[in-house]
Amino acid sequence: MNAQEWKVLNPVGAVDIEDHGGAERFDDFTGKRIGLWWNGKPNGDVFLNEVARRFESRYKGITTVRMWELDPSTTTAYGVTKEQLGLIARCADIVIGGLAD
Amino acid sequence: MPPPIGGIPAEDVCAKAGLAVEAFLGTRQSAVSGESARDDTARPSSELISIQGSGAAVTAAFYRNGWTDGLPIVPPTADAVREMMTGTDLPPLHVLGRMVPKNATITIEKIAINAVMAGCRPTYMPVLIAAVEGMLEPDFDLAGVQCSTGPHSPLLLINGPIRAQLNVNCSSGALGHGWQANATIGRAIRLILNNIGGARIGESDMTTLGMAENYTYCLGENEEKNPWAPFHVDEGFDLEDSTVTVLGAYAPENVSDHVGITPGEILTVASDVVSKLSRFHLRSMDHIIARDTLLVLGPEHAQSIAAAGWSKKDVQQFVFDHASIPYETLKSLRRQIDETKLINTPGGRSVPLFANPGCLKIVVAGGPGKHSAYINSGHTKRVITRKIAFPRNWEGLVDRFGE
Repeated sequence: MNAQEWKVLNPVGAVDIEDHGGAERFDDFTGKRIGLWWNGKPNGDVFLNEVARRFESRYKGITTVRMWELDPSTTTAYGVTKEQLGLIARCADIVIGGLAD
Repeated sequence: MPPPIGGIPAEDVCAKAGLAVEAFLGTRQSAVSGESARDDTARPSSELISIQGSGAAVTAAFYRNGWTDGLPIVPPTADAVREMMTGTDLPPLHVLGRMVPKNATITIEKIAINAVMAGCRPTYMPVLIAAVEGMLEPDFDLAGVQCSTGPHSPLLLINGPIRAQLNVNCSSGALGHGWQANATIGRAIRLILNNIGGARIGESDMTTLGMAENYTYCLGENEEKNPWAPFHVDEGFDLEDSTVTVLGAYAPENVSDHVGITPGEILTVASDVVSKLSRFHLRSMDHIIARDTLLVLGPEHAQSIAAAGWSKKDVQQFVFDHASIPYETLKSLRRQIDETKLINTPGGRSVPLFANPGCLKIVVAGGPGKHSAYINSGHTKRVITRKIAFPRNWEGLVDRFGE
């Protein structure tokens, strides 16, 4: 007996992929501002403080900006607003986020 | 970095940070445009897939692709999907928005495909469309509901005449099994979240344990046994409107009281269920207490409370006043508590469980028995209630596809 042939529709949602070119990469972090964003989950600040310490010890003239000190409202696991993202972007050349959980 | 980060000594966290820095500095040169990981599941809409064999072969193929919830599905043939779309006047490629985490486009056709798979009737489409629209509102926080480590899933509460038209269970076992509408509407939502939204357990949906309600979480309010106004009327809709309310919710927590007679007695038990330490799973209370949550009163509890002359507002105020956790207990558990938000209780200073009494929404559902339930919000800031829109030939559809 011939097997039945089913023609069924794909349930997966289509994604429009936009090429934004990727974030700029630096060969050297000297003099750069490193933004550190924490989502408020336990030990995320410990993690990022250590990241900051290692960058500061490795590169001269680096500035680390702890967003949770600059604007505590950015420390959230429940969505950062466009305005908050704008602030983060203005404060840093590179942003490192710590999600934690 | 592999988990965990929370709950481990600081020196271990620092060691992981060191590894992260080395990994970051070692890979930055290769992360250029076009080389970063791209979504490889982008496919054109309406792609037809050919599968040989029985219906079980279709389920097996979909399962291998990660397109099911683990249970057998109804094959979404073009005819079945076309019939499903008779449940709405919106055209197949009408876009409702984008669904996280993939930001995929949500079309009526894709909703219909997943609805067929779930075993829905075409008359369920208006509910699904309204529910998806509700979940796209920012206050629903679909990203949190989809991707968090917590066990939560969209809860759908249906009100209005559509309950009878679709035979939505509002009475005994309203949150249980056995009713096609409850079972498959909730199931379709799960398939939509996974297949359109792209949530994949362990990849983007990081739920630690999950819960049974991930399969389906849908009920109707028992308006007929509700001694007060129905929920959707409280939310500003007309009695004759049909609505669906969505909330990213944890599993229901049983409020069992077979002894209490007065409202105070019954709601003291409810307050105790609400006042669990696990409500404060984060360090700060600010994001938690401001959320809407549900108290689902069984009809017998609701009628005992209403017979004593209590309104829903009285219920909300009582639970607000009595559901709290001692400040010293939470402080000892490293919670960061804003002391200006403490309340005074007979037991001393306490942390309230709600920002205000209105955060506790009252619903009546279920059948005979002395059981109610508290349903906590997982991420959602406020319940979202949407009026259900019907196609022009709705009555004809109900006649054709009704039970």
